[in-house]
Amino acid sequence: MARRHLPSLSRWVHTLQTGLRWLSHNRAVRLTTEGTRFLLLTLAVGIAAVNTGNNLFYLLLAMMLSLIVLSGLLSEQCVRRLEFHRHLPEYLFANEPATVSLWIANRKSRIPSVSLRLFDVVAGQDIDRQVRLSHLAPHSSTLISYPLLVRRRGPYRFDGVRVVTPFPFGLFHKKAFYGFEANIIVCPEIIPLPSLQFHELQAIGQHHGVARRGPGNSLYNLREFRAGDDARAIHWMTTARTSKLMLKETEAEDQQWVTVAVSTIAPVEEDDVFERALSIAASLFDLLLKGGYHVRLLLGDQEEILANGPDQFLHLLHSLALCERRPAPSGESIRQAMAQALAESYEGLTILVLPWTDPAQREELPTVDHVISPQSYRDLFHAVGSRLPT
Amino acid sequence: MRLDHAFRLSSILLAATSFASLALAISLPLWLLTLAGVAFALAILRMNHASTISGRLLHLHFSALTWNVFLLLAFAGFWIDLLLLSQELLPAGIHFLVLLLVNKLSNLSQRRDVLQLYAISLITLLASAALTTQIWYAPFFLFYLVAGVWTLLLYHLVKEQDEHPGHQATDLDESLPPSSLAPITSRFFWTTNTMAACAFGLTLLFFFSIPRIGVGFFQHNQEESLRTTGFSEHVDLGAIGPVKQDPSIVMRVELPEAVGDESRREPLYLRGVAYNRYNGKSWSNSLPHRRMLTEFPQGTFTFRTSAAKPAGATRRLRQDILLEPLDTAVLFGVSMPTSITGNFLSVQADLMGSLQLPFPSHTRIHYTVNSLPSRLVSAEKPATAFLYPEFIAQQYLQVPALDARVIDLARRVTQPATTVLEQVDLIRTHLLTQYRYNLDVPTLQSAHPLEDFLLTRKTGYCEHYATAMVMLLRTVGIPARLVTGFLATEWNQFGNYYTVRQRDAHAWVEVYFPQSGWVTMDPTPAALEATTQTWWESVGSVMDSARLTWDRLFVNFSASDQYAVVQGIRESGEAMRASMSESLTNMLGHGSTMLGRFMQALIPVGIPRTALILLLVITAVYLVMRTLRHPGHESLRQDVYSANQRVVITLYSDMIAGLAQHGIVKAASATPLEFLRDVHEKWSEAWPSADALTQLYARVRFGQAPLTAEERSAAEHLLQRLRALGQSAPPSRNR
Repeated sequence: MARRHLPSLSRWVHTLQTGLRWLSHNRAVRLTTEGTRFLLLTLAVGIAAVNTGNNLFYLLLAMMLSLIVLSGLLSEQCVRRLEFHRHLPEYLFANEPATVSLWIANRKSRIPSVSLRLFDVVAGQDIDRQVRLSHLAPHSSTLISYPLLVRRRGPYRFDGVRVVTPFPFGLFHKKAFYGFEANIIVCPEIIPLPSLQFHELQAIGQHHGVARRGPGNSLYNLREFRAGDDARAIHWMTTARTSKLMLKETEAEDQQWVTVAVSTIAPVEEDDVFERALSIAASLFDLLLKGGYHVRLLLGDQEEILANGPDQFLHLLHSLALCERRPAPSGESIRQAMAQALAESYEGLTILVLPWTDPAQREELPTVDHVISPQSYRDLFHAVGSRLPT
Repeated sequence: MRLDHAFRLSSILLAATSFASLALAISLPLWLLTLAGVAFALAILRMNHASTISGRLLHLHFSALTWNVFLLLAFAGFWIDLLLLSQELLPAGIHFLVLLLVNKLSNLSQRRDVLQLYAISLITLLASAALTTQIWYAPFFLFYLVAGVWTLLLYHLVKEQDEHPGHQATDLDESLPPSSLAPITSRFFWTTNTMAACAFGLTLLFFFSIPRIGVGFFQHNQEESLRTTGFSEHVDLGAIGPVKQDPSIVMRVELPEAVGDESRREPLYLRGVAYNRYNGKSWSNSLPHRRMLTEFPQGTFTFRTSAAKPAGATRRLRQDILLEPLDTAVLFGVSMPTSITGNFLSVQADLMGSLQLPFPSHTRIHYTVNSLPSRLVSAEKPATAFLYPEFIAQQYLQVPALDARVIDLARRVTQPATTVLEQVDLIRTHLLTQYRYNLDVPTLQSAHPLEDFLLTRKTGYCEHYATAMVMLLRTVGIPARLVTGFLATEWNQFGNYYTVRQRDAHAWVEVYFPQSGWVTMDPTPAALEATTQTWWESVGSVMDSARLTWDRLFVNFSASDQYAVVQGIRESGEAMRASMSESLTNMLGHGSTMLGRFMQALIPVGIPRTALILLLVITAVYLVMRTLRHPGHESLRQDVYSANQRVVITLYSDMIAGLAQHGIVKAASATPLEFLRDVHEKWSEAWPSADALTQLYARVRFGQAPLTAEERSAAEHLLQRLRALGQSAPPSRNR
């Protein structure tokens, strides 16, 4: 008989535990200053009632307790049955404010939600964005926009929204957690590059220009026609001469390639400089792509990424945003991989962004045309008023 | 009224309610009342900034230093009051509290001041509760509760507005004003009052359920006792007279087991003390020996009288009595009590059946008396004479030296009688008919009050009548004694109880019959009183009923009441369970009988019994499952869609229905986009609206995108436009 009751008992215990866990995670109550005073007064009245046995004191005590309970019940009604949707921008840049929209709906049929304060929950922390909603009628929704400023690049995850209300009497802050995850990639900060002699680099790059097949007017090559080729590109004269269908390939115009190598090796104490290097790299890409360059990114030992035009800028930024710093002792393999990749870059200008100066690495990268390092661009790395965290 | 105005007004009203309650509970000095009144008046005038006076008052502020000096003076005044003037802590403290209230009322500039005002008002109400238990406290408490809910809510809203003036709010509902300058809407008004009503309900719930665990270090619940006469060891004839005009309530008596309203309205003789010795001017008890009643079970004191067992005892009469604090220790009840239940340490009884506490109670007491009032048995009615026991003859036939005319009167009156009962009746009738009831009798100054009453004046009141009857009966050899108590005649139909007042103090006679015991006889004629109740008396009855309810439910609510409630709930639960179990058993019995008959009817057809049972079980299971599942399916289907999806489905369905009226019918197999193409081909004017609606439908229903209020209203507008288009430019059939 006892054994038969065991499963149901354990089920009840499990249900209770789940409920308690849900409560502890999703609901919390914090006393306000007024609430603390009110509780102290209630305690005093309670002591007086017990000591005197005066029923009218008990009546006052009951009134104060009822206000506390009513406060709890009404605040619970305020924060329950809400629905949220967050509209995030496609990408964010560190230290650059962006607008986030939060759509909030009250799903209750009769009761409004009053005096709501909304907090973003990021990595378990409540972040106050100063979002307040004084009243949301039942069966209604509203859209709230607020600025979002993220200090560091990398993935940024919203766990959800914490709704807090002091309604109705301001004695307690009732908190409710609505979990809905949202992820966004925060790209490195784009900074102006005033001291970089960009035109000089451009000039160097001109010499490294290599003819490449592509859209243009100049002849690049004649070859035999293959299935799938554009029939309009058939070179009829050669075809007649050779009795084979021959295709004219044109040389691509604007064939300027730049390879930017970013070293990911930096000791932990140089983390800020590393972040600055990534910002410089991102800013460099911004300039190059706007200038019509084809860009090739070598990021540590990762596979190279090619980008052409502003549309592909995001691919580069994405890699830079997720890039991780490697400690100096484990940097040998990275150096070798980068050296090999740079050696294979047979065309265009090569720029090395070096957050941490290592003479050994400099020797291993003979094909680099230009190095951007804290030593060479001190003002860029230690720019006055930089918003990077120090 | 604006939100901030309402906030200030409710704060002042909160303080005013508690102050008024205190002023009623204790008499405050006139200067203090005036000062507080002026402070309240100024606080209210300051609310209205528009008027000239208010504008001037607004700028009339004393400096902080002035108020600090005022506070110091008030504190010094408190010590002077405590040590020299009142020399009591409570009055001195209350005076200081009122001065604090005045100070805060005059300085409501900051939020901190308002909070301090609330704390002071709460302490003021607490002080009032300590000083009174009267029913007028109830409306003040109720008003304070309502004002408290309003004040706390408005305080919170005004604070929110001050701290975050740029709050976002949807204006779809006006139940809450969006800013402190906004007026109070009617919906807000009623919502707040509903909250107050909920708070009141919760208050009652908590009040009755908080366990009463009074430690009692500072218990102080003594009340002023009522002065009574007629219940001491010696009672002068005419002592009751002076209290016969006093309307003060002495007790309230309920007869919980009495049947029918009419029976309850019969006068009820509530016996107090009996006397056996009369010395010509006063009555006394020559049998002062009292014994303690046995307490079993706890709280119930059983009465075992040494007097003759009444053969003519009627059915048991239970009385629930709420006795006000009196200056006597006597407990009242209908004659021949068998047991008394109450929260007493001990109960004493004398040889004449009078019940007493060891000492007078200074608090209101509630007790229950069970009595077996005796009536004359039929066998004793025709008896011409009785042989009385020696003890009875010794104690109850004593007669002082009376005027010979009194003895002659007794013999003359009883001369026609042939039985003892006739003698008693003749004397009683003689007194009832030959004498006039009059309260204005200077008996106490008379040397021979009985002779004056019987022979000279022939007017008097209950004591004279009862004394005369006892003396006349004893003169003719019938044992009798005088009893004092209360004659309850005022039936409160609203509360279903007797209200017994001081003026109901009464004296009557108990006559001894050997078998019947002591039988109550009342020779006093009824006083000439108005029989119809005026509206004012009705109001008084209602008020008294309310007062009794207040006393019983609130002032005297105790742990034993809580225990009784719990016990009652448990007993009702058990009774309900037993009743349900019985009904279920009966139902099952009927069901099995019917099933048996049904089976018996089918077995001859040739169906085996086992197959029948199996068939029935399967059918029952199927029916139960179907019943349970059917509504579940319906709700499941509804729950699949969110509220937004349901809205767009409705809108889209309306659009399809509207288009179908113009001949563009959506095939069941057509997707929304296919149908849209169809619309474009057949009615191109309608296509933009249909396209927008379809896009929204697809986005919200299938893409589960949120639906904002703006989108919803835009969609409704599109639908209306589509309908209007159908009337102005319907699709041409030839297209």
